[in-house]
Amino acid sequence: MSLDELARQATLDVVDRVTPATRVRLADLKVTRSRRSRVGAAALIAVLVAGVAAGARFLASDPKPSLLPAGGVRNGVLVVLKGEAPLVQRPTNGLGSLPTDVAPHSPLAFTSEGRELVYRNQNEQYVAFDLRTRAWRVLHSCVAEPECQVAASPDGRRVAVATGNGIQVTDLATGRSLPVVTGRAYNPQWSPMGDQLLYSDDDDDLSRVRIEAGARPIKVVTLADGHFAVDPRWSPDARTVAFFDYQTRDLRQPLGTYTAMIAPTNGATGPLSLVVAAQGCCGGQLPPALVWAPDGSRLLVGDLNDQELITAFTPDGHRTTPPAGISDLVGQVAWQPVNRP
Amino acid sequence: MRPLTAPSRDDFDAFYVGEFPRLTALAAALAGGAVADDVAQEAMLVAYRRWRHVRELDRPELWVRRICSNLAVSQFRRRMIELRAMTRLATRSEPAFELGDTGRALWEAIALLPPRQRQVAALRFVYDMPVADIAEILGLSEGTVKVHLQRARAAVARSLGIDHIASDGARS
Repeated sequence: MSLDELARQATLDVVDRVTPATRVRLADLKVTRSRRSRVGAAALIAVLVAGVAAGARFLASDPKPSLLPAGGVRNGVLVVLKGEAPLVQRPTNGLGSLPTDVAPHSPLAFTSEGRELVYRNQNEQYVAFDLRTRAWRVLHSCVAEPECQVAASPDGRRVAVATGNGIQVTDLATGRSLPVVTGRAYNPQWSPMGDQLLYSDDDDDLSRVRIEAGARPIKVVTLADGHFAVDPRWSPDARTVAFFDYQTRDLRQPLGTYTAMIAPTNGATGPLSLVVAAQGCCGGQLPPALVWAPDGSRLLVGDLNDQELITAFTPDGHRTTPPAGISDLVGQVAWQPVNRP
Repeated sequence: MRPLTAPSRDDFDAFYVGEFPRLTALAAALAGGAVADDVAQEAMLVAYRRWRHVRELDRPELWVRRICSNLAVSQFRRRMIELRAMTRLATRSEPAFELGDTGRALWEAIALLPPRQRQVAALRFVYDMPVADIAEILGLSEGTVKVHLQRARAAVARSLGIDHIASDGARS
């Protein structure tokens, strides 16, 4: 039998197996879509009403916020998104009502002054929600690019967009774009000063690059074959990066382990293993939660097993106590920075 | 001029029924049988959300095959799909879809190819797709597609111990 004949038979075999259940799967699809859009529609109405009542307007230009306020930063409220559940706040609900149109598993981030919460909504748009005016602005639409990942700069004025074919940085005021990475690159993360990007590169390692024309990427972490660096996070002082080493023998199989790691961003030493956040399980689950305290005092690592919910580390990798009032940390997390007066 | 009416979902239903089975075969070739159903469904969900735009394209089937091809080899996105798949599998009494013995060795051989060769090979084998269409879907030149296809066919044939010369040499 020739290769082409084998391919024809193999394909027909799959088609014959799938066809009887096609109408059922079509019904499943509509249920899924309906469930996701119901939440989004209700949220849209609620936010529109709140916006009109508050005299909401799209943010145009504000005085440039300071990235490093003189009085330092303290830790505000943690916002957590667990799968398709609504956003929750820990330890208190100090931020008031939060958007309910957040896409499942959306990344979360605060701008540097803690004023805006950035997330992906159920219309495939990355938006910034202003906690004071209760209005939001669209940063980037991913409707045409299902693979795109977007990260807002700390001052909220630029976005880094990864589409699987490189990373571009766009100034939201001028619309001008600068390609900073070519080739396959994922998970862009802005440095605290907004001058560099950290990302998972084509080798599934971590690299960083300055946001300027002609800048060359610099390897930060190199992992062995079968290991993948995911979800990198700059420390607030930009000296360290936290990430997960995802190890699997076969990406097609839903088994792997996540190990939380830290490494200096200057590559002075290799990465340090902190804790195996999910061992011998996962089933293809997304990485555990990983977040730096805005004051730089500690790193929190979530867990996918049920034995230990949060592990806290100092920036140099020693265990420390988690903050009071936070009993679980599962899913996507953002920790609001609050500037001291 | 076309009258202004809401996009019909009836034509999406027909599109789905016609496209989904073979799209699942494409996903199986690219991502393995365990998540093929969910990858194909995720691609169709994207099409459904954007149906107002997709239905206006000349060839919406190429668009959804591109989405499926990218989803299947995107590690980031596929992890999200795997999460949903595992959640559903936990509540199912029987698996939604399993690869048969016919072609299992073929799909496994394709899965060992580098990502781009895998995409080119899968599109060719599942759809008997012309080089020009593969190039359009993947955003490559036809020359590049031909190189990937030649290498993929040779590697898969070597793995299976069979002849790899195309039955229709003109289409290669």
